Amino acid sequence: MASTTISSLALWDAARVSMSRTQNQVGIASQEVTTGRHYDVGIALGTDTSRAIDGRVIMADMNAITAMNGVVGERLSAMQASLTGMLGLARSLFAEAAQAGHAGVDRELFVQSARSKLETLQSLLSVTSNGSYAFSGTNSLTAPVADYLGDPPSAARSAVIGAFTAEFGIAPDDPAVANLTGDQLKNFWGGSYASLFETPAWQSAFSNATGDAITFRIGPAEYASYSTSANDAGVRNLYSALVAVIDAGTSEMSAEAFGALAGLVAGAAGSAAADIARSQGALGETQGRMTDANKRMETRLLALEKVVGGLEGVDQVEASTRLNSLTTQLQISYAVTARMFKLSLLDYI
Amino acid sequence: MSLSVAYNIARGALAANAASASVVSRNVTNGENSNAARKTALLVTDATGGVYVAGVASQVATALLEKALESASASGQSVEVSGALRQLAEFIGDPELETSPAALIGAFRGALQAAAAVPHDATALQGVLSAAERLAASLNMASDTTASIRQTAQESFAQGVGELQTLVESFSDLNREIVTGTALGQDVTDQIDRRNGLLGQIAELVNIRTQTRADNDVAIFLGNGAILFETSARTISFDGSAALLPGQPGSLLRIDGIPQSSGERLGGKLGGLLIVRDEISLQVSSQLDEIARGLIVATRESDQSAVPTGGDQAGLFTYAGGPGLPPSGAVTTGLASMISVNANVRPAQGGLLELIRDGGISDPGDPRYDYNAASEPGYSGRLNQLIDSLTADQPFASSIGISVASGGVLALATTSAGWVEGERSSSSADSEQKKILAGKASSAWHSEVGVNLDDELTALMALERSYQASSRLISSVNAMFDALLSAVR
Repeated sequence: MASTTISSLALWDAARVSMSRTQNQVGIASQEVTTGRHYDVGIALGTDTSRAIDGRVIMADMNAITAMNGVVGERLSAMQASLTGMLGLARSLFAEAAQAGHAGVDRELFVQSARSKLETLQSLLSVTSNGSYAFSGTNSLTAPVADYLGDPPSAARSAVIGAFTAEFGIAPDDPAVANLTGDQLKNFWGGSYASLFETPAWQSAFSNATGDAITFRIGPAEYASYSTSANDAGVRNLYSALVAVIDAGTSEMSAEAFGALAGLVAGAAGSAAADIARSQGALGETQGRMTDANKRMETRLLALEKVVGGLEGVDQVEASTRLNSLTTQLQISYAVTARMFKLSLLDYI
Repeated sequence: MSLSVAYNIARGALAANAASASVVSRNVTNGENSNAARKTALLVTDATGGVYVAGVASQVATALLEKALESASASGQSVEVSGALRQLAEFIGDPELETSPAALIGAFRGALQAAAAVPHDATALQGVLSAAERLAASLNMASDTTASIRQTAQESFAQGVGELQTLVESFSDLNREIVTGTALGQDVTDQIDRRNGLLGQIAELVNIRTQTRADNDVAIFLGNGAILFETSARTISFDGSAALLPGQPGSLLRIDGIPQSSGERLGGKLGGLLIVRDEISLQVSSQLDEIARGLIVATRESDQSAVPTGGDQAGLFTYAGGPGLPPSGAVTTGLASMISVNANVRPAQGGLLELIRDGGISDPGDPRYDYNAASEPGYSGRLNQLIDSLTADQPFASSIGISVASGGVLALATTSAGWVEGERSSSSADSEQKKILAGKASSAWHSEVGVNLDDELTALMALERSYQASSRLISSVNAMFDALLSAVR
């Protein structure tokens, strides 16, 4: 007799298999409800996993860039503050020099003020950020300038005095300086003195700063650079103006010569102020680009978080609905199985 | 017709009843045996109208059995493949944990970025070194894991071949018993059940086709048509002693000395193991090798002289064959297990951290490869160059199964992770589906041929009734005889 019935084993096995499958899914759904992410992201996404990884790599990159923009930005702000200080120095030197030519001005006071300005300038240039000198360019572990007025005399000071002596045959503190004319001084200023503040003499005697521009990454595919350092024209002009007041025989020279010198100093201070303002502008532009890049990255980070979250995450409402229906299914399954196992012909015969 | 004939028929019915009851009891006993088919006593009416049990027949469903065997081998294969892929994908991990080579390349780039902002800072350079070491270690580990998965597959394959030999031998004995028994008209149904069980076990190992012939003789063929068993068992062999060569397929299953198909066509657990050993793990390790090569190439150093005379050399990342670069266009087998961070930048090995910033890692004594000749602590040019080169386009071998249009080694690592997870995802879905199909097919077969206890109990009740009827018949005939005899007396 051919049987058209289902075998008992197949009947019971079906219930067992479906129960264990449902239990499995309950485990998955309950984890998804609690974490809000796929139970197994790799399996859920397949090849799209590369998109999730890519998104996370880009996010990590932008976070690193943003953090480092903070570090570099701090350095740029410190440099801006220093430049503002230098601009103040240049302006006040300009004002003082413009008045110094008139009679009745205390030359010693003028020189004294120049000395203190030089000291301020040196300390402004020696500003550090994150353990490196901001104005030293790539030679960032060496102070950009040595103390000009230090003892023993700095190389820079010796070079200035040497140039003066070579030009006029007398030292700047020699009383004979009084014999120098304004024209002679102008010649010196425009000739051997000026070349002291030009490359390469400037780098060998005054400045330790090196390198052209410092380039840094401000966005995933965006570089910015700045070249502000102690080698800037503004710094050189300010130096040449201040050093001239200190070491060009100011106290000994005739009123005519002093008037000429004061004019030259005022001119140098004026162009220093203009140059420094230009440096500030350039630095400010870099800072601006960095801020823009940060803003762009912020927007992109938000968007990427959504993309990655959308890829890796599950709809928690859907997951919890699924969990509910699965548990109901499991309960029904238990009830049905229990009833089925209770059904036995043996109970009725 | 005489009363004694009626008596004999009733007696025969009792005997047939007992035989049927024994078949029912065998069925009930086998209720939980998934290989057992339902047996039926074959009742035959003789010339006098009596009944006797001529033999026992098993319920047969050949087509369903074939289907069950086929899906069992498909399931065996996909379970192996998806299991191996799960292990292989471990080095990628959850994207959130950022443990994949791609994420670690990203972390390395982050460390470079941090160092480029403060190139004078030894801590930042140390950060680059540790990120590079983590990256190299993760590639080494992934490569070793892949190799060990291959080795395990090889060993499991050898073991599986051993099982197959034993199973085919047992099959051979059982088949002979069945053929002889059938020829002699014996009840061989229990042996057939056991033989079906063996067939199921063999099908889990390899994809087979069966052919049933006269006298219940069964021949087994592999999916490719090769004979596994025909009247006698064929010699099954496998040379598992030969070491697995990296990057090259291992030896195959041999029947009568002839190597059989690999992977997909062999099917079953053994076919799955071959796919793991010769396809998936080779593919993954070649991708890892190319990622390693991409890193070495991305961090290479070139001659900085005005008129370059030296070729490019391996810098931060190097390998056993350094400082020359590994050849491009072809996979350098085992590169991922050899890649390491150059000792010249490891302070612990007498190296200089600053070389990460300055270059000249390949040969600190050769000034041609020094990017920062003045050794300026604020130099960030080389670090920026390294950041860019990680995503700079470079050619990769076409044999690795994936290709990237742009984005350099980082894109390759990301794509590779996607490839592995894609394979894992589809194989996992595939194996789930095949498992369900195998369950369904085996349950369909069992539904058709298996024992239903209620049915058997009902049959038992019917037998009980017919026993009662037969006994009543005997007692009635007996009473008639009594009446007849007392009349005669």
